[in-house]
Amino acid sequence: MTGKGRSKPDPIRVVEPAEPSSIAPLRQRAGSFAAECGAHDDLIADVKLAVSEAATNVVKYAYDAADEGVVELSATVKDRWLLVRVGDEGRKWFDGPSTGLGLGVTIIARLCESVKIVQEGKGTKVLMRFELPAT
Amino acid sequence: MWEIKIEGELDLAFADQLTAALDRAAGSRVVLIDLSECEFIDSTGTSVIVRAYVAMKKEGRRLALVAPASQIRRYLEMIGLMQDNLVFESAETAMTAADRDGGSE
Repeated sequence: MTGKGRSKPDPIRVVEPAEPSSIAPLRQRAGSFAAECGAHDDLIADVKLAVSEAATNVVKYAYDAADEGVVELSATVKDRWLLVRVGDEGRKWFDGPSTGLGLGVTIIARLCESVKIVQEGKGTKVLMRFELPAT
Repeated sequence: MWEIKIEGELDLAFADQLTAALDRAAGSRVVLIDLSECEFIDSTGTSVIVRAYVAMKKEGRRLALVAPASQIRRYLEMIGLMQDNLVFESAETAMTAADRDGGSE
């Protein structure tokens, strides 16, 4: 830390079971990371909401009920960008029953500067990019 | 009138509780959801609310959201739910609107 520029916390990676009760701790962790990066209240709220929507899609669509799947959150800062990733190792979301899937994805797209949904190899990864305030 | 107060965070983990609370209110013409202590809501929560609003309207009943805090209000605005006939500043204003419209909806 040089004392110049924005605060740059170490990247985080959190893995939780793909269950409804995991969604709150994941969005809290993402929100506190955003706060450590200097995000203001509205941006913190946006990050929490986007992570909640992505994690909800994992819990609802990535695994069959009998599966014991995981949802993974990782976040890092690069220049003025807060990069947040929510991923799973289940089936591709759009392959399963998808009632309500579109709404969550639409909201994520509204909240962040850019979003990429990657389905290569196993599972689905949602890559979200938020713009941090200028320092 | 039936009032449901949501405290804390409404997401997938608690959506079923809201659905059950709305089911218990089935006999009431007006149902208020007090959001003043609600700290978080996402599309899972608002989907339950919108589904209930539409179903109740068909039955000549009314669902109103009351006193959302600023971040909740911001989200409702983003998804187009900050509408005069759905969101109210207080239980009193919601009830005044419901009484004005009577059972004629």
